[in-house]
Amino acid sequence: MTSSIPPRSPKEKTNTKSTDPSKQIIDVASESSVSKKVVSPSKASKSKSGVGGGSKKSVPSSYNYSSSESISGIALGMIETRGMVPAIEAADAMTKAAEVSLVAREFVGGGYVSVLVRGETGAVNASVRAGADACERVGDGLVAAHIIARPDSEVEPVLKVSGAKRRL
Amino acid sequence: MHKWNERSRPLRLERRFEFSTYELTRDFLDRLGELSEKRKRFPDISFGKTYVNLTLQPESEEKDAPLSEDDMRFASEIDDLIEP
Repeated sequence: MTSSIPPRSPKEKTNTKSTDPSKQIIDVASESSVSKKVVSPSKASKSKSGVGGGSKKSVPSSYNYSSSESISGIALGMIETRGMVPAIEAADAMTKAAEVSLVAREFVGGGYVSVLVRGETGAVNASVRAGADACERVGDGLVAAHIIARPDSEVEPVLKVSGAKRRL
Repeated sequence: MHKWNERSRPLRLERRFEFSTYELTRDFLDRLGELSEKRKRFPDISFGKTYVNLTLQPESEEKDAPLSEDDMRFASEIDDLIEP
């Protein structure tokens, strides 16, 4: 079967994997000195958004990796879903199932969404299982789930929310 | 005797379990959760719809700690969670 869509000229093609900093959505919430504070012109005029993007409200604190005072326990739980709806369902189920803190929601590209929680190991364990159950019943469901009982301290900077509204 | 693979850097035991349905996967995770709560040992868990990957690190938090008899015993107990 041949495609009826004419090929794009090199100037029209949007390279979503470009390494050009001006065309990437860069971490705007990181405290790291390594990250660049460069935002593409098309995104610069948009305000920060909460869940789903487009809102003018600031990102809720529950979605930010705040100080360790609000988080007891260091275990890390992660669920990756295909789509936003199962991700919200998973986040809701995880926080209701056990004493965990929702630390990040990330759009990782291709329609995939990752949700991260932290807390005591047993709580994170139960929480991720509940979240997996919930998102498995919604939409395209669970892609992957992962629990790290004792993350290395070097991993901490990676867990800070990027603030990206979406990734192409 | 456990059926896990021993890996190095860092030293750990790994095993993959596969299931035919998500329900069986979740049942196993529930049994694993009960065992973990009972023994106060929590392996790293990675799972999807029909598989579970477990990583069991030495109970000791010291750097370069070897795998102990208790680690091996816990691995065998996890193996016993699989119904024949």
